[in-house]
Amino acid sequence: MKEPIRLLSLFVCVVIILVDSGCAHDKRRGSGASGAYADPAIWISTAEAHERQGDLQRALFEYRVARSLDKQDAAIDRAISRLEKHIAEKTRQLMKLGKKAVRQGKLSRARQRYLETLSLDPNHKAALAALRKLDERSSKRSMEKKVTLSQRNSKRRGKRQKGSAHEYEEEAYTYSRQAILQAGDRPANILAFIEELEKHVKKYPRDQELRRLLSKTLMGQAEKSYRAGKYNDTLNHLERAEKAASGDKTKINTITKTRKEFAKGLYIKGVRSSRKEPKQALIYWEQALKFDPQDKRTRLRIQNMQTM
Amino acid sequence: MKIRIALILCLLLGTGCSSRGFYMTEGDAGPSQVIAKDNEFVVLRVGNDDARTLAKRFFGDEARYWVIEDANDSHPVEPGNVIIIPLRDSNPTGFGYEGYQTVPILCYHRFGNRGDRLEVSSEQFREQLNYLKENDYRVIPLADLLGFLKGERALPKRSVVLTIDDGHRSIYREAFPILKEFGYPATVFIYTDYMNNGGLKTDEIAAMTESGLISIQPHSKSHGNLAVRRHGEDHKQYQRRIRREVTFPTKKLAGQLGQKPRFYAYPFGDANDQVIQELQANGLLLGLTVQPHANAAFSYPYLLHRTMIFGDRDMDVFKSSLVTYKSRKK
Repeated sequence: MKEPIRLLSLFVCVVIILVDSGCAHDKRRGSGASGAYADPAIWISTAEAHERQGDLQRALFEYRVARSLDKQDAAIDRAISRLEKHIAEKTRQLMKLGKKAVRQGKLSRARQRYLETLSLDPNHKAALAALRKLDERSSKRSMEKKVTLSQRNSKRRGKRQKGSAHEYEEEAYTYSRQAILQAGDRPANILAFIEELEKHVKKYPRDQELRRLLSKTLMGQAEKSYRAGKYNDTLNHLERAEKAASGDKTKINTITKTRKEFAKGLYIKGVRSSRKEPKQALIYWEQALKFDPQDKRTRLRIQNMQTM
Repeated sequence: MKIRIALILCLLLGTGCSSRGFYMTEGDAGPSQVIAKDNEFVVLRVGNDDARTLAKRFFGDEARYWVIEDANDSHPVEPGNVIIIPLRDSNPTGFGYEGYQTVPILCYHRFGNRGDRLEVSSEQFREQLNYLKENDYRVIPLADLLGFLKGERALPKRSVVLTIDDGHRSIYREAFPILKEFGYPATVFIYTDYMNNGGLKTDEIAAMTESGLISIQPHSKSHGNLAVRRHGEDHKQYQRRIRREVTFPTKKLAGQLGQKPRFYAYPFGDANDQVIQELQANGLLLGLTVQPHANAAFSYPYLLHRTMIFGDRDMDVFKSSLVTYKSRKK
């Protein structure tokens, strides 16, 4: 008699474990982010948070999801209606400010107001049209600049040979120049810009205009490196600038002059530190000689220092 | 005792089986279950569905699967997950609180290994498309931009458009097989004097368009610069030339493809008001330049920006051209 009872109690225990594990699985599913999507209260709470942050578009979206989940809650309808009115009022004011800015010729301010309008209401047709008008204006202006470059290039290159290979070469040349001359992010990506210029000049060594531009850009970098005390970089930039300017006497003279100025600056730095830091002075003078190997004063200083 | 052990083993085995029977697993999740639905949203618990089957069911178009993915981006469309399906296009311009969506249009020319700046090797092209695929970029046809530029239709997040200019035969030989491999659409802009004359041949064009991936559009007749007057060309001659360079290839392609072209890429990316007017007179809806940077919903459709892809640039430069979102505070 005892055995069937024991078996029955064991069976009941296992069933309880089984049911419990199933419930736990269900709970896990319902309590995570996944289950939260079905809970209107969660949507309302995130909508409120977005509203507090000023992201009214997102807030409205989330209130609307909450309404889809709970059509009986009048508070959600009220929140949606309140937010819609708030957005309408804000966008009305922003559009007014945008138009005023356009009238005053303050186009970038106007652009900001219209962008703000669309961030509140992505369906705002008037803001989209106003922004497009501004974009048309600025795109046409930059296109005019581009066409001017093309006209200059066309005059400079004259009539080119016909035939698909030559035409293709001409196209590659033109696009390569365009990409460089139109680089809007030049100051932000100066190293990439120099790299592009060097590639172009290597491929088209007879493009004097871009060789001059490369040389000028490298000179600018050399000065920047010099001011930062990076003398090896300075030297490297100057050498590359010289290479780009080869054959251009005027440019080479300018670079030589800059070399001498940098050498002089390092010579003076050496003189100033010669009393307290003679080793450092020697470093400055040796560096100065790299910029201007002919500088007699610096050579003399080094000789004197070494004989001391 | 033996009976007791056998019973316990049976029950323990049953636990595993019953777990499959009662609760959803990835292999057998059952049908998706609608929790709530009105004219704006469907909220459902995902069963045996993915974004594509749900898009087919709720939008009648599985290609719009991205609407569901983008609406639940922090929340994958997986069995057991509750997701939302927006039934209305509430954000057709791609504007958010911090910024707005932009669409980069990439501009290729020819494919091969000659080491020219305008030439991209097959290996590079494959690596670039693979990067797009691996990083969740969605390559969309140029035509999809139309609704976005009207502020009427949203685009997938991280949308990118591929275009190829001129109509070199290497497009068919090298780029087309790779595009097919990835299933990516592209627009090929052809200057018609080059067709069957060193450039793409009629049967190659037909094979590409029949694939449904390639759209052929005009890139002028002779590839002369339309914004620069030729030496000794007077105003009337210039006007005539512009008209011919826009009208002729548009009509020729319409006749050949049985479909009126809608887009035009300016040779050398150069245009002016007269050229734009000519495009409009020919019913062309978009004009593409080679001015770098990506396009927003408010971009002027006749001066769309494109980023040139040069063969001697590395992957970092390629990656930096994929700007799909811009802060509005800049």
